[in-house]
Amino acid sequence: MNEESKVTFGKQFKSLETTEEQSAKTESVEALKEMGTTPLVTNKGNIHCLTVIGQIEGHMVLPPQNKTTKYEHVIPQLVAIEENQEIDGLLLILNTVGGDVEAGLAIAEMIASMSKPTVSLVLGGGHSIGVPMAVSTTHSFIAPSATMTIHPIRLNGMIIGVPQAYEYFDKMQERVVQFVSKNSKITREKFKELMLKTGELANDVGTVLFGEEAVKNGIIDDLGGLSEALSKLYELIKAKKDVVQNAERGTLQ
Amino acid sequence: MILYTIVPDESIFNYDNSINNSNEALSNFTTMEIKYMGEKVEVYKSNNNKYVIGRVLSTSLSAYLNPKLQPGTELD
Repeated sequence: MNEESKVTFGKQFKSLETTEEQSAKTESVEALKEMGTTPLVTNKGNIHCLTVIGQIEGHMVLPPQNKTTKYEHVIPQLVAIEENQEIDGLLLILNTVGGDVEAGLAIAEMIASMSKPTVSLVLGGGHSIGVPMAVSTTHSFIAPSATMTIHPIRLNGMIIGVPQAYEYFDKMQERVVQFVSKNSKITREKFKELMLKTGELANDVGTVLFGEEAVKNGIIDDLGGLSEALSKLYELIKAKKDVVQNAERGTLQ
Repeated sequence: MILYTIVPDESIFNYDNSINNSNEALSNFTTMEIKYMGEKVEVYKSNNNKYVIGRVLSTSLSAYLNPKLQPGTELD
């Protein structure tokens, strides 16, 4: 009885697969005829790509000369990617100069708490709040020519010259330090040291890290480009699929 | 709001008024986000009062390969 049900399950599964394959085939032929494109669903998995450019825009709309990535665009998309069963993984491409602390940390926390495999690639620059965003993924890559600037948080607007102002600063900075040290191999102490280093930046405290230095300091996992990032993402997707399949096999037996 | 960025405040907020005046066209430049062909895109109004795709906001890779969603395309 048990054996029988197993067989029918197998058959059903197979027939389901073939119809799915057929519909996918006709769909792709139609897409090719209509638009000259092919769907990007390969047997390796279906991935989505999120590009973060310019300033991270949060609670305030920035003047129009700024190029921005808005958190109200990104956050619902991350939810959709996590929830959509047809999407297997996320590639995060970063080229950002920083921006709103809260918006940046919100996006970074969202990515860090996703169950699907995620890979980030820093190209050009991943400065300031771009650092926590880069480390939020399962695995991170940086191009050799890319840089990351790590510096203390500056406060804009009215500042009252009281000790509490410094305390407030330190607390805001702590959020970034904690997130980065939790999600990468760098220690809290080392990251703070880089943040408060003098003699590197002309008018500021902080450090500029080249791709290789960012890897050496443990902020980023690996040096690489698009092909490395994609193959790592597919590797993570495959590993996750294998785990799920093994678990399913376990419950069947 | 705390900005954590390497860009100085004055270039983000355009404190210099002379720059502000010459950039009046830029400050009147507004974009809108819409759903077109099932994908989220950002559009702006062109000089001949037509909507033009500014950028694709969707994360779907096939949206970027669709010529109908290419930035600069006028919408009917």
